[in-house]
Amino acid sequence: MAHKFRRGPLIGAGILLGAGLGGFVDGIVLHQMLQWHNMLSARIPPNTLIDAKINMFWDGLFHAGVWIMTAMGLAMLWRAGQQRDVPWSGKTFLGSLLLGWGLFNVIEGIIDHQILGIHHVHEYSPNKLPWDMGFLVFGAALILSGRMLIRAGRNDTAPRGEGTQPK
Amino acid sequence: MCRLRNLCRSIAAFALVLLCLGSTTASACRQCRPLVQAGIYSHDFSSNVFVIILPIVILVGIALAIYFADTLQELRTGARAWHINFDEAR
Repeated sequence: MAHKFRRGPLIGAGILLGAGLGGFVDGIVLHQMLQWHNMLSARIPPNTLIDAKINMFWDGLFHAGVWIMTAMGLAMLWRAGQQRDVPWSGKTFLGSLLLGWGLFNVIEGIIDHQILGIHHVHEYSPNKLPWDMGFLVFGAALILSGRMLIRAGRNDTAPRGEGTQPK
Repeated sequence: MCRLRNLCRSIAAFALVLLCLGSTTASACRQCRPLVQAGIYSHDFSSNVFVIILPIVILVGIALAIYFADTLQELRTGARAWHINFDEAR
């Protein structure tokens, strides 16, 4: 009897983990280290200590959100690892991580940068559009490479722990 | 499923506690504290929470839909099969 494998749990967990980790890259690199923008920097420019601290609060809410995504992804990965019909494929998982990061960039970029305009990638640049477009293009490239890796892992059928049996 | 739900609930509760603790850090600067709090808890508070959380909610929705896609498909197929059997039995 042919065994039916389900890749959805591993891909779903990988997407959330990838989106969460991608969110942390955004928060740590662009918000804190480079200080190119904050969550509401287009609405409340952080020109004074008070406005910087207000933006800091909203950055904190964003970080809490991406922390929840990461924790949920970890819980889902744990659960997926307990299911015998979920193939434990490194390519599928890595592809899902990239897909999640790319989805984060594209969804956050379209909603926050383009539609709502609450901030832009490089808030203090005279021309913000190229930076915003670059962010979206990078996200799209991540989605495409993630999709390719997930496709490459579609024939993997090894369950978790196979190949590392104790002697 | 039940264990995952309980785990997610615990994570959400922990995150809420962190969020509440986080909001008290806005009081770090004694002199600017009232102005900072007024800026955070302004009439735009709810809309700001909404716009910041919106992409995260969409991403969680997409991931959960993919995670449970096979289960939902099986449930739908099972329900259809049950209807067919029920109709045939009649």
